Amino acid sequence: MSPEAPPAGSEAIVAGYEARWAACMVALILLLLATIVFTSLHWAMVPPSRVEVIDATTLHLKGEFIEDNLGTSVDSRGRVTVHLLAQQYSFHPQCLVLPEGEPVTFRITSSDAVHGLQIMGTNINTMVVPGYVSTFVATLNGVGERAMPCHEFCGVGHAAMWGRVQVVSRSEFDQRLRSSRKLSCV
Amino acid sequence: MLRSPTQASPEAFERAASEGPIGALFLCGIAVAIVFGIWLAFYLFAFLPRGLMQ
Repeated sequence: MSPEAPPAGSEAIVAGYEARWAACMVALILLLLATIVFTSLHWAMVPPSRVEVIDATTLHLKGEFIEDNLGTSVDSRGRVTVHLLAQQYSFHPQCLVLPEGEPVTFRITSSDAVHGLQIMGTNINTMVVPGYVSTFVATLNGVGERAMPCHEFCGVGHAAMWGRVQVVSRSEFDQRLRSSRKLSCV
Repeated sequence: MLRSPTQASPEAFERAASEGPIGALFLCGIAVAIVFGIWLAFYLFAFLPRGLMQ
């Protein structure tokens, strides 16, 4: 038995419902896009996109990622910067000290494989690629200790590649800074 | 081939279709509301409280 063709009257009614449903879905998609645009433009919150290259074979010999320069520092204008090196299978330094509620500039690179950096409980999340410097600014809220795992499979020891972040008050941060030019909590 | 045990008459089809696809709309509405609600909850209560990364 062949199906009967739907009568023209009901077809128009169903088509009307479909059009209204499609309009609702388009509105929902526009709302999601507007949220992304608002987050990107108003808060400038976008994935790290600035491509900055560095010679991964000489990291330990010269430049900002030599051993003495790793850790947290404050420049003459009071800006806090972290220099961090990722390599199989640890971060250097293994433990960071950061001030609470202050914008901190992170500069991270890798000397061997592709790694990932994530600080738990925050939106800090970036790839760490040899030959490139990952740079972003973030503010950590809440004093305490946070885990900092590598989130990109980097080899057989990947699961053991964890660091720590100590978020301390600005006064304690300044106090610790008096005893050392570069801060870490290794 | 699966077949409906009874075939609706054109009059019955017209009567049902003229009321609009209310059931399908209800089902789609609930599904979209659940997905969008979960997205909104993550955005407001997980993503935003975790702070900015610029």
